[in-house]
Amino acid sequence: MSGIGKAAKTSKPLSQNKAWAYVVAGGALEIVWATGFKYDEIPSILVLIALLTSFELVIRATKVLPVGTTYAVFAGIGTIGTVAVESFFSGGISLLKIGIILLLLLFIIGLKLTSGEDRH
Amino acid sequence: MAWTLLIIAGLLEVVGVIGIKRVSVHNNFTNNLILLGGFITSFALLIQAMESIPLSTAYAIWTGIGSVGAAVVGMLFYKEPKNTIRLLCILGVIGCVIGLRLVE
Repeated sequence: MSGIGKAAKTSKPLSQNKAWAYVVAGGALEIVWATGFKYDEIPSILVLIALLTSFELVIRATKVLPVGTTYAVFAGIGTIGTVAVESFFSGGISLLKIGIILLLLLFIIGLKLTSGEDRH
Repeated sequence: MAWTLLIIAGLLEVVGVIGIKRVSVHNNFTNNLILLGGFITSFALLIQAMESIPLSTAYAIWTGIGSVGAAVVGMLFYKEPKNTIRLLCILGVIGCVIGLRLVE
């Protein structure tokens, strides 16, 4: 991961749309590695690749997108994704729990959007 | 025990985030060590905690503690805004973590 800084410095500037595509792909991979931490159905090597790729994508995206917004979207995808995966794997999840998790997500998004890092 | 591990994992995530900030300013060995050390130990403990805590609960709490910790560090050391909305969000996350502990 020490190559992250170097790779990002030498790469060409991304377009905003492409950067958002990176955030979404990074968020999707985040669901893969988080699920892999819990369930053996996802092979370790895939978890490792997903982990490194998702961080690399998000860090690249933050070079052209506001950091606060980027992390808010990233955390949102991971949170909602893991709720969906759990409902699928463990055959359901209580509505009360989903409610608390969504509320938690709302506070996280609030914190990220007000971090003052949205200036370029 | 799993909940203690999960909370420590969240705090170590904050160490990793501090590492990201430091590496983005100065890409040297120490800062990379903080980044990698923080995240690797955090992930190791998160995996341990997930043995007994459901995926969505563990993930939401891990990312919640990381966000609160990063915000607190940002307010204290990186001149991020300290306003009522942010403080309410921090209390809100803590409240939700306690709520999740109670419904689990």
